[in-house]
Amino acid sequence: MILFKGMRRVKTQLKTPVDLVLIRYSTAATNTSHDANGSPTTSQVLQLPLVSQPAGDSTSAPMSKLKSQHLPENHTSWMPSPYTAPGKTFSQYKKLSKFRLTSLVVITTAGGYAMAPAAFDPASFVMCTLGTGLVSAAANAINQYHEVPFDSQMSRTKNRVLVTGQMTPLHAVTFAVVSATAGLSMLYFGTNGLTAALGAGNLFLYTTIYTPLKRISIVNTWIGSVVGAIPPLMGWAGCAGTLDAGAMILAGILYAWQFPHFNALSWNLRPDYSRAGYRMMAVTNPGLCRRTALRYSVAIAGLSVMAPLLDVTNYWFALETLPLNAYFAYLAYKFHEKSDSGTSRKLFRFSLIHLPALMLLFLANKKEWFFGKSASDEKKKESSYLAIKQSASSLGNVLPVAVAEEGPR
Amino acid sequence: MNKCLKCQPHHRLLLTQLTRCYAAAGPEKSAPISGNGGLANKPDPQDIKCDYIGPPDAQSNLRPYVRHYDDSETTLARNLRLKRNEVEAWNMDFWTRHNKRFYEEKDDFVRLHKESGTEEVSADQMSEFYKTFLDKNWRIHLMYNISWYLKNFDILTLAAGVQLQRLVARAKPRS
Repeated sequence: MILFKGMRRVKTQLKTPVDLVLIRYSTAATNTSHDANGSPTTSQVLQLPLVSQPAGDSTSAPMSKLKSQHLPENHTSWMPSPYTAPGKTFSQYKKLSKFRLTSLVVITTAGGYAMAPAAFDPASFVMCTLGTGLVSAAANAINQYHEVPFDSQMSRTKNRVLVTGQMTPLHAVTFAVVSATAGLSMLYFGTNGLTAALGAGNLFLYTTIYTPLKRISIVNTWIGSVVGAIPPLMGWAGCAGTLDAGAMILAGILYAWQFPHFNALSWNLRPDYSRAGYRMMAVTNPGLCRRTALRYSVAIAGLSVMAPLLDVTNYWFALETLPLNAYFAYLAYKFHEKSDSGTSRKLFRFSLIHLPALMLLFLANKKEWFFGKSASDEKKKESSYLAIKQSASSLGNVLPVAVAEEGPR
Repeated sequence: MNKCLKCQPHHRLLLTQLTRCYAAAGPEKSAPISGNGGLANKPDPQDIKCDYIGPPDAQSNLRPYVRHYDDSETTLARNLRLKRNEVEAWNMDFWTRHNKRFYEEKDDFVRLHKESGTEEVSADQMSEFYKTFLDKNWRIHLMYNISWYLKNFDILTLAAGVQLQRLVARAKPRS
């Protein structure tokens, strides 16, 4: 998963003019200019995926490069390794942990927490979200540690901190270990064992199964979707302590969302993926890529309609999400009919709006909110009241007090 | 700590108390660029005070390292340095050959399709090439992957050992 970095306009910290930046794209060091299929060179498509502004804005495209402008290729300079520009230590960790991706994961966890049918506890909420964030940061750091030579091959990833030598691999792995330990401890001691177990399982799934599988089989996309679906489950479990059908709706929606999101993203990166050796649907089975994007976008609509049936939301939710999901499915359909950089970009961009919007709608339409007492307490009082009444009638003169047993719930 | 501070009296870097080493750029060898500690040319391993990383190599897309050493290098540090150099050379060799194969096969494919009359090779047709290339290289990639993971882990453990050694050495004079 990648979050697009190109949306905000950057006050150019570049001292080099625009044409120099364009020259950089076509240096020998970036072999993507060998693209011979007539479409704009892959590097440009990659670097300007979501900027629909005129070419003058190409300077804003290499986002990650602007901040680390100390590696200008026109100077071909040799830099000390490891290297931290003064005051940039924290931003290096942010890059290592894929901060924006981690933030999105934390948002989905918070959404899962908020949707759970149990009281909102601020302390455990903070522990849950922070813990998940730390575990996600650790997973991303380990991923970057493993993939240095592959990241060097692809334009999208060649400015990562380990690839450019700004951090040593030992440092990155130490960060990951500390972060994972802290995160899992927060989850275990701050929420409950189930959340911690889900977190540990997700970490294992991502680093040990998904990362190697990316180079072995296209099954990695399905595994990766499971990885994306677990954080809301963690949030739900952190709040409610158990997982039920409602949690599965949230997880299911997130699982389904990964497909249109990732298939659209990877469509433009096919030459890079092929050369770097990644096995993605977009490369090995483009037809399947298009079909799954469409199929799962329709599945999202279906799951959203099922949400009220499982008491996760009220019935207005189904109505409200209809236009959102319909447009998403429409874009997926367009991508299915004619897959090119335009349709894939549109689909990818909208997927980044679609998910937060859906989460907000979930929150706005939650079935019932629990403050202080949990719902089960309320029900218990009612049922015990009924029990007393019933037993009073069935046992005649027996004092109601003596028969305060568990009535029918 | 910053072993190089005394060598760079004219370079007052801000957070030099942090464990960052900026090499003494000997003015006779290569002039530093814009005060950020960079060098223009590939340095000699014995002249520099810390490791240097260079711009990406044109064929392999990997960035070459120059690993520094001097007389005070311990055996463990030497093993680490040699191992790193070996793995970097192996990596560079693999990717150079691999990328060369990719571009050659791609050019062949494009030429073939242009010959058969099509003006431009469409994206869908290129997809066929990408798929066949991936499939052909599946086994090679798998073997490379396993080797790379093992070598990377070796380097990691050696580096951890060297770091521990340094910490112990730093703690010793005080005790």
